[in-house]
Amino acid sequence: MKLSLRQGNNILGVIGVLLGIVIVILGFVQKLPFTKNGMPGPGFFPIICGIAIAVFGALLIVETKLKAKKALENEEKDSDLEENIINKTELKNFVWSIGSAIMVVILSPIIGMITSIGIAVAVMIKVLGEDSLIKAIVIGAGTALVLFLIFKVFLGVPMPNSYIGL
Amino acid sequence: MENLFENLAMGFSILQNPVVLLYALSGVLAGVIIGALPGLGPSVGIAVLLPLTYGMDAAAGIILLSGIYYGAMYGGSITSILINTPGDSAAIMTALDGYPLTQKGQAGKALGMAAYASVIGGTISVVAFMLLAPVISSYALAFGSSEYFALMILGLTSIAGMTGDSPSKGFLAVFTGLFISLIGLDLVTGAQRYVFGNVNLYSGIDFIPVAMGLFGIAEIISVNSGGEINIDKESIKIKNLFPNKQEWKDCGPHIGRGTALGFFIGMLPGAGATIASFLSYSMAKKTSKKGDKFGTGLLEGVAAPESANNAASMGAMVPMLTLGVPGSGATAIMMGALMMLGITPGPSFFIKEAEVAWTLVASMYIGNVFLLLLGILGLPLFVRILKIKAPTLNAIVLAFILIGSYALENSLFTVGVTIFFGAVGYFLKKLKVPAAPTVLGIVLGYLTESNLRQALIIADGSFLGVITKPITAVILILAVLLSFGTPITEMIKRRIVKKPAA
Repeated sequence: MKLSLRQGNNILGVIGVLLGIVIVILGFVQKLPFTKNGMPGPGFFPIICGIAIAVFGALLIVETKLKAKKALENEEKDSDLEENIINKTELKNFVWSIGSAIMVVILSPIIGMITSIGIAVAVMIKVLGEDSLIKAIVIGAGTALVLFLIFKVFLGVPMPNSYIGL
Repeated sequence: MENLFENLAMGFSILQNPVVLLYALSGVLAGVIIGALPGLGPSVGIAVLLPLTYGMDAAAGIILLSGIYYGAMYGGSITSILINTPGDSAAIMTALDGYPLTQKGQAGKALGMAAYASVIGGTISVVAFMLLAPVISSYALAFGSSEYFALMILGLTSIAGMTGDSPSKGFLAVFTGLFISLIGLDLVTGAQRYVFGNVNLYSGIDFIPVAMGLFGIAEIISVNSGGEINIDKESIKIKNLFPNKQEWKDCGPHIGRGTALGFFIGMLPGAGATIASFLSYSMAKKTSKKGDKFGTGLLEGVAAPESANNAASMGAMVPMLTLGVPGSGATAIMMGALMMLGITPGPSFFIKEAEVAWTLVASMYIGNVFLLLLGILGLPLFVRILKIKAPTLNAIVLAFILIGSYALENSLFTVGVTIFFGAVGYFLKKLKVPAAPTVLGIVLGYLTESNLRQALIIADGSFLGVITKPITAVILILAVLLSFGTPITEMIKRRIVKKPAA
């Protein structure tokens, strides 16, 4: 996957413009008045934020275009705007870290949160660290035990109800 | 002055409680460890370990968090010196001379000097903090809602204008944070704002899961394995951590200047420890007799930035605690944490919460002693931790983040929010969008809105009446000027970075 800073900035700018417009429209759809009895109403701040997000999103697109144009004029071949910002290792980290975290949310009501986290830790260590399965399981179980002692025993946090596990 | 010592004595008397002392020690230890991990700085440390303060009393909570803060500030220098990978941006300048010292077999001396400079800078700054904070608070007591509104705007614009590489991105981030803070029930009119019938959103989105995602998850995804640690064990033995008389003589003035510079720069919203260490290094290079040898492995090049960045971390506490305006990501998270613990920082903090305030001041002195002890005695432990593979550490940090965000409201929805902001935060990080303005926007959003509303009620609905009050107007003009902070700071950085390379 290749994504340059220039492309990323443009995408972010467009998302900003769209998000800002959506915030303003939803403000009106939800009937949040801009002012009420001559004072700022519940829609005042959100609508200002929406407008500002859209404006700064548009400014980012303009700023990126100007920077790219300047880099082209100065013949800066190594301009950081064209550098690929996503590398393979980070993308793998992203997929497995976010994937494991989502797995914890899904599995918590079934096998318990601490158990799910222990499994997620073991999976991440096995896949991302390329360690042995035994080592991954030991660290996963150890982490689960520490979390149990800190959060369940010491802080008394009630864990989500689950069919089995902690 | 008599009052000052009485208050300080009160603070120390509370610290006699071994449990509170243990919190200070644990905070500093955890901070040094987190700060030492490549890429993870004070903001991440505080965000990840925040759940440990749940259920604590306010004094213990803030002592733990501030210990993490200045512990992490020092911890960042360990990786800078040993593997040329700064733990956070404030430790970049330390690597310029610290790593060459390691290559020369003098890692112990560099690490020792980093610890001494950090502790001296930190301790002198605590004295300055102690003298200055109550005075600023007493002046700020006269502030009304319009001045507060202006202060919030100052905090938001300066952090948006001075962090990251583009003001557009900074402001995009700050307004997104402000918008997130408005989701939920409007406390004045009771209107549902952007809730869409989801009961989890009625009470709004707390800043903690967002900070944990943006700072914690996003950072660990982008942290790759650091460099190989290959140091001579002999060089980090305790006896080799002490600089000799001549080295003290050479470094002393730089530590003094770095401390003064760091403290005052730290107080400026948005400037922070990174700029302080850049400027301190540059000043040391200009004023040293060995200026031309900077970058080749000089202890002076370690002492100057390290004293400045720890002094700046203390300086940054001044506006946060006295005015309720945090100037950095780390202090924004700390302010949110204080509010979670039932304390609102601001001008009345030193009056209404005198016990907490002075216990905090006293803990800063003790914390610096702990920092020195840990910096010397704990070094073999920190080196061992650095040898653990990055994926193993990342998995364990992620585990803490997930359970910590759950423990906030005992809700899996909050965990989902953290994961969402972690995923989004990673891409924003790659696009060089700073996370601190978003978090500050969430922390200050409600306060900004409610102060503006109150100010308008007092001014009979006249917005002009609000912004033309003298103090309000001055603060707002300053806010506009600081919006253009990025071009100025980038120019300073470019000038300083060019020079060491030259």
